[in-house]
Amino acid sequence: MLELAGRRFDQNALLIMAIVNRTPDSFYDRGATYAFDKALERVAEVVAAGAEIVDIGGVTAAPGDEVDAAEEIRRTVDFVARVRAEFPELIISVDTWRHEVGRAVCEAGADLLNDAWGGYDPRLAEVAAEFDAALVCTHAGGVRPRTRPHRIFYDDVLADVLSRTVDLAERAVELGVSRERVLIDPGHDFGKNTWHSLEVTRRLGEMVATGWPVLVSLSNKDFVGEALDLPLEQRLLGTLATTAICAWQGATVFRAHNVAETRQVLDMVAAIRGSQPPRRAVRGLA
Amino acid sequence: MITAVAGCPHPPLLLPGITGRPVAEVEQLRTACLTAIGELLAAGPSRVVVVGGAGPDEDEKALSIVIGRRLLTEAGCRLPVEHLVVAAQSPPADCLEAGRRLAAEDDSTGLLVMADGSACRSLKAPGYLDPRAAGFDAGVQACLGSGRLDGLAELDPVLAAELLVAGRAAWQVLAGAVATAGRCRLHYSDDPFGVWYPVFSWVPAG
Repeated sequence: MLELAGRRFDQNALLIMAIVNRTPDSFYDRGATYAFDKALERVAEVVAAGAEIVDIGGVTAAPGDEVDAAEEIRRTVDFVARVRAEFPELIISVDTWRHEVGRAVCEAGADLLNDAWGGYDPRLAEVAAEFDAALVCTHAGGVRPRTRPHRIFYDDVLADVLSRTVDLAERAVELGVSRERVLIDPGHDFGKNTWHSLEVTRRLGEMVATGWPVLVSLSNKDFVGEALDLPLEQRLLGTLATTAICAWQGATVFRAHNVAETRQVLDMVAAIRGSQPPRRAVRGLA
Repeated sequence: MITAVAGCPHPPLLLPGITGRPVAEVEQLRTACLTAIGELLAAGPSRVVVVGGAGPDEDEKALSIVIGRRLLTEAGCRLPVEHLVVAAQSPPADCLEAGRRLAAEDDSTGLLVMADGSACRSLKAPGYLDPRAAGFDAGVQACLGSGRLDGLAELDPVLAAELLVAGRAAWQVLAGAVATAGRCRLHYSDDPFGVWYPVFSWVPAG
């Protein structure tokens, strides 16, 4: 059972967390929604396309120009407040590793803190507990935020993923985060080369088996690009194939750029799985 | 004694939940069926007999009977419900005789006749387009429109089989059961999926 913003979701739920970047330099959109109004338009679009969650980010994951906590807060807090006001039903997530930012966005109405850097700032979970927010506990291999994986090896990557994410999840619960509001994320490409990300995908069912709801962040990432040797703008089909594989194995939340396409894939998986009826079945039945 | 008649088609589409989400064309058909059955029940019979065609090894689990009973339930029918299964390939004389016997019973009976027209009415139809389909169905509709249901005795069983008509045998039971004139209301006549679905209700004249 998963609870986000007061709504409860069972193990068959397939939710889309749409990426909304308030950054000038994110890898996929390259600043397209850095401006406040552009980002707000993006929120309206992804809601119309079927996203249940928006994930607002003020700092790109890749190394680059320094963004300190004050600047990150400047980029995110007023925007969260505006989205909260305009979309009262929407689940608002903020992608941050910093507890100062977490606190400020929770005060502005965020429901979920997406700690994509694996608990780098241990106080972020305390903020989630304090505000009754939800928390994503991600595997990043123990690296510092905004670093690229360099010669990282694991005896068993999934064992490391499981032990780190489950430890983070249990710790969050001990700190007071509601058990139903904790997700785990294998952190595709974070502290992982392509072989690692592919193995994590192949063995995602082992994460689902822990009982923690699983979030996956796959969208247009480099492991898709390297698996197919395709540049950024040609990774949608690979992303969607990976989405289907993860959904089939039981992932619950899908962080995505391409919301309409992802919604269609997830609806198809739900129909095959039998958790959602076909929209219109008449062939052979007249 | 036949107090009233309702006629409905029996596509699997009318089974609960089978379309996935509700499909507008199917719900429109269902509404018409429930209206026709409502008129049947309003005539005040003491029982309802569902008449339907069946395959060689089918009985009360035949689609026609299952859907007929289901529609009665949806219409809120509280009366005793019986069924009369007739082999889809039965000769017309056998069907007419079965109808006459039914009508001779003492009970005040509401007949729910489950029957579809041709499944060959368009290029997308289950049986593809057969140019004879429209004429065959029009003949049935003319009988219904005239209120003389005994005219259905003349339907050609060979042609009906070739046109994938799933209602010929049941209609001919009806023709045997109702030899008198009456008032017929056609509640629905369309082929949204290439099969003709007539929905009607009938009460004796006077």
